[in-house]
Amino acid sequence: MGIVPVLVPPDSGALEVLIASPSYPQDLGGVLWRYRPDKSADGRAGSFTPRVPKFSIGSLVTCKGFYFRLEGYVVHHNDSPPTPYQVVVTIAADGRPVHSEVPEQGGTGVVGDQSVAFLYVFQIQPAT
Amino acid sequence: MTPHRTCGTLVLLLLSLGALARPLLASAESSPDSAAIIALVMSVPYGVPSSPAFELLPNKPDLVTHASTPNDFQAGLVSWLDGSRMRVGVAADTRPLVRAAGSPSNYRRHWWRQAAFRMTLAAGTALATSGSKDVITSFGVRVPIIDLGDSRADPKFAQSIIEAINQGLSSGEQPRLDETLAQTQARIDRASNLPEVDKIRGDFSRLHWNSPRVELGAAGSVTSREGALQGTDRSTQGGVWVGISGPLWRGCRVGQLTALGKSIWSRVSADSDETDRKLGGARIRGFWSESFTTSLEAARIWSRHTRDATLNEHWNHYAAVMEWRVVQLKGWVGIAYGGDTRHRGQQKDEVSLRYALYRKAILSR
Repeated sequence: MGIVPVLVPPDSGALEVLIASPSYPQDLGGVLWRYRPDKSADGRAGSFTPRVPKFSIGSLVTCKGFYFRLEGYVVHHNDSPPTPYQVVVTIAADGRPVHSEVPEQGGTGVVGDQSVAFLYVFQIQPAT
Repeated sequence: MTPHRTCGTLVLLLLSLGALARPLLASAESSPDSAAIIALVMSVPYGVPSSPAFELLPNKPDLVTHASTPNDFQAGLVSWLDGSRMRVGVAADTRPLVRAAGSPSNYRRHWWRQAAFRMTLAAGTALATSGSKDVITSFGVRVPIIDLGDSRADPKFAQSIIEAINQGLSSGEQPRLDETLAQTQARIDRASNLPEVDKIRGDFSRLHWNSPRVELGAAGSVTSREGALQGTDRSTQGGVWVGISGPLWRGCRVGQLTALGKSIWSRVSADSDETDRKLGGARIRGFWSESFTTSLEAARIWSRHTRDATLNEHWNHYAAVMEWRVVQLKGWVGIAYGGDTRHRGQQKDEVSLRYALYRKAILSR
């Protein structure tokens, strides 16, 4: 499992995580879990829904060294033939994207009659 | 007319039909087998086929390769070639305009993006007749232009499903940081199958099973000698389908009216071959309660032979079916009246009364 280092400018304020499907009409959901620097569980950071595609996870001061695990999924609509999807995860600082990418694990694929998982694990680090 | 009065009138109409047909009971089939009723109900499909291309093949393909993008579809077609000949028994489908839809909000804002996204393209090959080496290659498209029962176009549906799945994912212990994608998929599968999620999907289906829909289909095929790619096409076929369906009245959740028009024409070699067959028909289905359903349908079929007009003919198809669930018998009693009127392929009028007792309802939404 790859952990993506997300480098955030040291003077950043509020950090937000956003998930989107810009290319295909696929509905995304998911739960963001938080872990301490020693990788022990630290609770749920928030949930993604179509109405709430982004939320704040705190600031660099409170998130520094912490891990986040985004357990997301593409909701199925019984598509036949199956339809493609592509998920983009963005981390923004003070409203400006500092990191954006398609998750390596399940970030692209097809969805038919079963919802499909994607996984994105990252750690907040200060940019030097 | 109120919904209840309409429903009552329909039931009375069907009961009257049954009463009129009572003298026929003596000659009706008394076999408990429900196959005859199923055949009667299925003989005219009132809707645009899911893959019009496959309607022009002698047999539906057993295996259809789903290409997720038009490029994959195109790449797949190359593998259908065996030198300069087409392989037999291959089939594929795709959504050719899948990228036209854009994001979920764009999709919901524009009906044409929805129609483009829902459009499917399919192709397949088959032997023209068993024992022959001639190959039919068929292409077709299906375009659901309007579909007010499209769950993807309803933001409330997505929101409520996702809230319920998130609830399931959040309950219980926090997963370990190093859980794999497969473990995550398993957790999402469990959360997606919770009763709350099933209920949201079930409620949506019950509310929208008869929502207005307009669909178009078109297909074309060519028969080539031994599958050769060029210069030996012996005959072609083409077809168009138009299907419209919707509730019996505004807000009705129990009944559906469906109308279909279709035309299939062929370039033929023999004078006696049919060159054009058209069908127009309509069906009303009612699911009046958990234990009483009805279906009424009527269609006319026209058969044309341009080389010999004396062979032209038309005939009618009727069917009226009622089903009651009998709890004591743990099954359904079905009564059906209908069939095809006389035509060349059927020398006597086969409109008749049938009844049967069976476990599972034949009529479904």
